[in-house]
Amino acid sequence: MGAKTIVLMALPFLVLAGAVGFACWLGKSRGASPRASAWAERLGVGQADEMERQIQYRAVSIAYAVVQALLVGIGFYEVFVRDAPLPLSHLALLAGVLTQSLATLALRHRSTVGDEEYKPYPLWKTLLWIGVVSGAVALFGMLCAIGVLAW
Amino acid sequence: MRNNIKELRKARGLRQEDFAKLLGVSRQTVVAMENNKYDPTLALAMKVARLFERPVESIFTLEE
Repeated sequence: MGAKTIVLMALPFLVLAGAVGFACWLGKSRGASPRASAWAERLGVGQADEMERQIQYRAVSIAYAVVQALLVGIGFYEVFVRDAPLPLSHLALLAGVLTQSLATLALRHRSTVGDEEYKPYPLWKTLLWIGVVSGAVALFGMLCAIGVLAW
Repeated sequence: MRNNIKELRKARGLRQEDFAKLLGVSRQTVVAMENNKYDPTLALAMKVARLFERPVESIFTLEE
């Protein structure tokens, strides 16, 4: 690979890094620096208010659902159509779903701390139960797979 | 939820942009609230009420 090719391939990444850096600088010094404020005004970049945050939240939820559906589709295609091993992208899917589930549990737990009428179930016990049930399901699946292979 | 922000704002002779600045939100948020496309948070609803010097329930009504 020649030097020119490397430079050409690096260009999009440099532009992206520059854009991200500029956006970070704009977000950080918008209130403090008059130059940043002027740039923000010129580009129409404002502080996200509550409606904007709700819109962003919905957009991210939709994007997340699309990514999940695509990853599941790709997984099925790779395994059942191309007879390839399960792709690593499935790990990203699992990591995403796991993070969502754990974050939901933790955030809900944090929100209900101080409940006077009902003592919330401790988070560690909930996580322990999830681990036990997941382990049991995995064991059952493994036994089924072994049974099918031995048959 | 429905509201009469538009009528109250116009009665005070406020432009959407000025009203948005007073509330600390974008003009788009004001437009969405006036068109009943966006239900504000309790904090924003109380800001609106304070600005119009009226109780919240006289501005926002819950639809059954």
